[in-house]
Amino acid sequence: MRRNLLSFFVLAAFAVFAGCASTPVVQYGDAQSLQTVSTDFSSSDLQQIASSMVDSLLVFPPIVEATSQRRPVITVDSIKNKTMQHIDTESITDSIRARLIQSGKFRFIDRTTDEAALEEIRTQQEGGMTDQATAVKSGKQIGAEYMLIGNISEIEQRNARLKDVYYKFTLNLKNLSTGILEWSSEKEIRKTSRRRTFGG
Amino acid sequence: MMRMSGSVIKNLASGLIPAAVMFLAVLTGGCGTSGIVGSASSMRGSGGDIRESKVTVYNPLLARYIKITELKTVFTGDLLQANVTVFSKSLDTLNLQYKFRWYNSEGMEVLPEFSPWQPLVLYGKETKGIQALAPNPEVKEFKIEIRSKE
Repeated sequence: MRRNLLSFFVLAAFAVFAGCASTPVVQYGDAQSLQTVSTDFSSSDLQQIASSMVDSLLVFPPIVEATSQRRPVITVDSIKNKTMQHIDTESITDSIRARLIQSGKFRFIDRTTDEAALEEIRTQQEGGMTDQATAVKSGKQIGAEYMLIGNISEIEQRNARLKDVYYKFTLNLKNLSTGILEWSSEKEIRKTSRRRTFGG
Repeated sequence: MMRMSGSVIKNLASGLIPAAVMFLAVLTGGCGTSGIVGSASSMRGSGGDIRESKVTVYNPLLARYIKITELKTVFTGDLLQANVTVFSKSLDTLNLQYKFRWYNSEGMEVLPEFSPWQPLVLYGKETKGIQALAPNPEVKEFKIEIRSKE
């Protein structure tokens, strides 16, 4: 009986260690999970920034008032990347924009697709294939009331065993007609990596 | 000789079995991703009063270190805002993570892709508030899940 139990545990322990063998195993992970692979800017940082910025904007009392009866139009400027890393800042603003649109509080214009839109409108109006009653008229677009502008910076410190990276993301909402910054918020992220004493 | 080796195996086995059980328990316990879930719901017009709030412990080991002391909902405009207060019973710094889940009046999860796991650092005996805003006005209930690091 004992021998059977012993062999069972030996086998179980073997199975556990075999699971940790170096054969690469591909599997899907949770895209929402916290990434702590390195101190570099990660998907978790992007998600945290987007959530924090949107929450901060939507609870700001003058914004709650401005969006209670209507959905103001925003345009997004690019985010300045002041870090030493390559960060796809458009991806951050895309996430912020998606969350703001889904909240039902704001509408957005997207200047990056204007060229393609203009081409389509020209084709509709001059191509001779579109019923002119249904063709899109030029000059009907809605102008943006606000602009989102921001930047991301980092401060990195390190010694032989420790690396500490501090990220600061700042986002401002500028009123285009008055030039006033109606809202501003920051998200700070600190990541540290420690070199282990053994097997570092 | 045979009898001796038999008793050695018996002694070894009697020592090994509890050790192996503990080893496996530590392995599976360490890999546990379950945590503590707090939920609260609120209806518009009730002045932001909590209609119902509940804390469910799925990980008793974690519950020895932290406690959800308050679950509150308030409306900011028509968006539900969740306020959660967590207390650390530990003297050491705890590295945890949390995630909010949002539900509509029918109990369907709303925009789950907009609620990432976020880090939560709790210093010894610290009480910390965690706030989050529902992704849209459809949300009437939230859940917060707190777990230790993956």
